[in-house]
Amino acid sequence: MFNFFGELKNNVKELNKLENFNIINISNKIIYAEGHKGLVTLSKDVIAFKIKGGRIVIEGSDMFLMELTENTIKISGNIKKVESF
Amino acid sequence: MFGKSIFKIKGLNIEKSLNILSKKFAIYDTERIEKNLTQFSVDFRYHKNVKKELTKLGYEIVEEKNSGFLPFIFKNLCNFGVIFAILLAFILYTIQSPIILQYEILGTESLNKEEIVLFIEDNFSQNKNKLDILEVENALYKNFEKISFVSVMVKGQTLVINIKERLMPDEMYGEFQPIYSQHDGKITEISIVSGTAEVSIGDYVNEGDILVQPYYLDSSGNLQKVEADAEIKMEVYHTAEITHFDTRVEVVRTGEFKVIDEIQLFGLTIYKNGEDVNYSRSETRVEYEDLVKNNLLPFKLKRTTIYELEEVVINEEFEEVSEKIITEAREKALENCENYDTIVDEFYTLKHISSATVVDYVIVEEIIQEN
Repeated sequence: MFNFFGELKNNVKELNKLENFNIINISNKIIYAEGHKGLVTLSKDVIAFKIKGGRIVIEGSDMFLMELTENTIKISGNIKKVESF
Repeated sequence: MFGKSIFKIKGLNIEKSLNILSKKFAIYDTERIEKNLTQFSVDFRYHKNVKKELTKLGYEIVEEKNSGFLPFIFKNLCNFGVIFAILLAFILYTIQSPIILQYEILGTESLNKEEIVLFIEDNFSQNKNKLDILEVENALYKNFEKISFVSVMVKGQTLVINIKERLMPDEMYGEFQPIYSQHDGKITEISIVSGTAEVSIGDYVNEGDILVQPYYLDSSGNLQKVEADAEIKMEVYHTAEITHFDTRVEVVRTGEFKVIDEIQLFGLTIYKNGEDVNYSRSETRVEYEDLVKNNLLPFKLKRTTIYELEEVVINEEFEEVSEKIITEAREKALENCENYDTIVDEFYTLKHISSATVVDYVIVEEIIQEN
């Protein structure tokens, strides 16, 4: 199966050393993240989740969790800002 | 996903609980409606486990909704009406499945399919488990002379009967009926195709006489049945007779007549115009006419015309009207003739008896006798 992150890492050698998390933003409407370590905040305006060694905070409006599994998270809504701490 | 369960739960610190749940089940469409009210959905297959976990975590389940194929099946399997219907259908199917519902008969040309079906229905069980196929085949072969080969098989609830009919020479088909004369007349030509001729050229025959017998005698003198077939031509005589009396009494209209009109409703006269007359001899003609064209009040006009008649003595020699009388006789004879193109001859004879003359007109038609 085609894996976008796998292909990207194969092309950029330095990326092979980075195994923490992956995030993809699709048109500020959907955020898909791999390697999260747990949900921290859930509201329509802010969704935050932990990653290895930090935290990702997403701000926007009408947001909700499309999918939440042990390792992946899919957020939908009007995304305004994605910050990593 | 064959179905999903949507939970609406009440409680705080939902993030922590979602993290616990997501380690065991995938969670979809999670939305925080209010601070302490959250909605999410899971695969229907895990809805019981999720419920258990939520209870364990101390959440109040405000609402649980199931949708999709699996919940539909589970819901209906718990419905007694549906269970009863399924059971009933199963029982009915089990009862009727061994019964032969229809017959498919292949390969018949002259054999009557209904006759075969009736024979099987009368003599064999309709239960396919009790039906001996070999027995059916043998019975059909023995009871229907025209069958030369038959195979029977059960296909679902249909009994398929494959028949091959016996091949016989063309002349052996049929009912072996003789050829009867359809007219009175004289045989002018006869050519036998099969059978035995009972008449020969020049013979006079009456309607209903046998012309050809449906058999022949073979070289050993044995009688062999065949379909009677022959080409027969015969002269048929159409006759008409008119008697002319030199002195005769004829009844003719005097010219006097009376018309009586009546209006009727359902056969009852409701108005009458004119009075009855008392002619010593009369002829009456009645005509009906609808006055209105509806069925509500079907008024009818009954018009009765009464003609006065009188007897007149006519003295007329045959010679004076001979042509007219002969033409009348000819026309009368032609009434029985079906095809004028086949007329081969015509003649008349005159017979004088005291004061009368009899005209006998004969039309000779040559026809081909039908087999």
